[in-house]
Amino acid sequence: MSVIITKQLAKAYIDGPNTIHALQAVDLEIAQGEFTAIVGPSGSGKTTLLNIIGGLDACTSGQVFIDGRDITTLKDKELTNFRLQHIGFVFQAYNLIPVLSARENVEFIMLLQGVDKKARRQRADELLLAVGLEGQLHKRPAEMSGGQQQRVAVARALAAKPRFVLADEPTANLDSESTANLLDIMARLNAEEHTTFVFSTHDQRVIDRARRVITLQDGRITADVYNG
Amino acid sequence: MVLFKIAWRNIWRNKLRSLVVILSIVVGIFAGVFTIAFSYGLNQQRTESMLRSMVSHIQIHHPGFVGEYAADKTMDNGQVQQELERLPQLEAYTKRVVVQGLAQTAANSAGVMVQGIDPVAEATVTDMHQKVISGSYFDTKSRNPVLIGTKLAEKLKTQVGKYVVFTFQDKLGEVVSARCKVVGIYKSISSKIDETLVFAQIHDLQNLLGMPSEFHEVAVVMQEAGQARTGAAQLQAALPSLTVRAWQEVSPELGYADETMSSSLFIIMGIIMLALMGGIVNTMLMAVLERTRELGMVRCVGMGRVKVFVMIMIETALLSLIGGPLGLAVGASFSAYYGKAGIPLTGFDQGLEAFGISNVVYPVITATEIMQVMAMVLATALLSAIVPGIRAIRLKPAEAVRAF
Repeated sequence: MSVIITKQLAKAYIDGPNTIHALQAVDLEIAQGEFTAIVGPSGSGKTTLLNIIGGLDACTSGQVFIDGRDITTLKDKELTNFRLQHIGFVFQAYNLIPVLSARENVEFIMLLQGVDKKARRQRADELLLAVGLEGQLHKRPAEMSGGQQQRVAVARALAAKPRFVLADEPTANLDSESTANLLDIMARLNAEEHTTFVFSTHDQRVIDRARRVITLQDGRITADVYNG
Repeated sequence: MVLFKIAWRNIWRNKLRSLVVILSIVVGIFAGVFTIAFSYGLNQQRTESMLRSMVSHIQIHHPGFVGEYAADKTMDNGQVQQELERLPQLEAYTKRVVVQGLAQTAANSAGVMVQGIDPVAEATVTDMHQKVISGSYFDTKSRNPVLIGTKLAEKLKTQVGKYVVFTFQDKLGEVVSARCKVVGIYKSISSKIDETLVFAQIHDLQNLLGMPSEFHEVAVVMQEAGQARTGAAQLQAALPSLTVRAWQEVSPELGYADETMSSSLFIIMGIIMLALMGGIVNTMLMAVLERTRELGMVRCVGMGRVKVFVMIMIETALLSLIGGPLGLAVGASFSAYYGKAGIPLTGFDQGLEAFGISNVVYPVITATEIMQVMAMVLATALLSAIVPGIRAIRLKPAEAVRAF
């Protein structure tokens, strides 16, 4: 079953006298449990595609269906709530809340969802255990390495039990060991819990681990390859 | 609760900056509260001094006497005394004969206002008997004894034991003169009073004016200055042929100062708050700018605009709410301390005397004013949060999350 479907998705920016076509007629289906990398050179439209699928940006034309629901018709408030309930985000720069501990960062999403304290704490601890940070619950981001922070970010993205996780260049700031660790964790969560992951990346190490690689060039899908 | 926790911790992310803002709030509010207390104290002292030394709480006159000082516009006992004694909040009263005239010595002359008083009754209404700095309050052995102020004594180049000739019109309009002995020199709180007001004994003046049992003025003191208006209204109803005025009408500048003090002080406080608001808004805008990525992230993951706005609001309000009560506490403590110890304004004595103000000021602030300032602090806090809050919710999540 497809979790994400885009139909004739297009995004154009006006830049003075020029119109820049960031995305053009993108038709895409991503099924439940996929581990997909969207690749392409800078300016190919990877981030724009992720933003539109994630409900963070509006398309110029076309449709985006998440679990059959066209999110391009949603208003800002509905989109905010939709993101909260259905989409997990992992950012290149981790973007944890610096004044909260690892556990509190993970709990934060569930707090917005209105999950009660006991359930929040239990799930946060389980997720931090799953990403190998069981001993770091009370540490604040500044007290953790980049790799550890990104693992907290993954735990946070999963805390809301999203339909899929969008990860924008998640390994761009990580060393090889941290990248390998993070990919192991995400691959395991994908395999064990069938969590759908969609990455935008330049990183060959991520591309090598992805089971599907979609290549974008000048806003169009130029290749869509399933790895063995 | 978590929004409070985040806001509270965010305040301490940049300790120095937050402490500078909090300190400026403390100093601003302290300055405001202390200014209010000082001004109220000054005004209250001036009012009380003027009431106690001259104006009293209520004055009764013949309608034709008010403003004209016509010697023939007199009252006599009878109904006045009867009605006064019916007043439940009456503390004391005294009768006076009042006449304008000229004081002369060999050296100089000056226009004066002579008040004929009953020294014993007058002492229950005013405190002039305590202001005598040379000679005695009244030496009844002397013929036509008078008390004059220091300024008048200087002007006439006279002193205790010397004589001054007073000239005025009697009840029938005839010019009369009297040679009076200076038995005492007083120094009141007002140099203007000291220069123009002369006290004589009421029966001496009644005889000179040809009105043995009549008088021009009744000065009344109530238990509280605040009872003046109701007391005056009650007396006026009972004495329709006379003019009964509370101190606010007798001396409008005192009443006016009292009424406008509150609003003008809150305008000053408002200006202080505006200045503080500028500082708070600036600090919070900086904080929002610094946290663009973080705010972008919370919006991305599903935190609504209202919650983001509330979070910034709480943070801004907390800054003010830490500094506000501290400033209030410091201001109120200083005011309470100096309310007892007094603030000597040495060097300003002469200027203050001209306005009828003592050179030691005792600041006064009440719980009501403190609550009003607290409400202003709260309002400032909430208003200061609006601009940074709007800035935060206007961030575009997808762009903000990648900001550097």
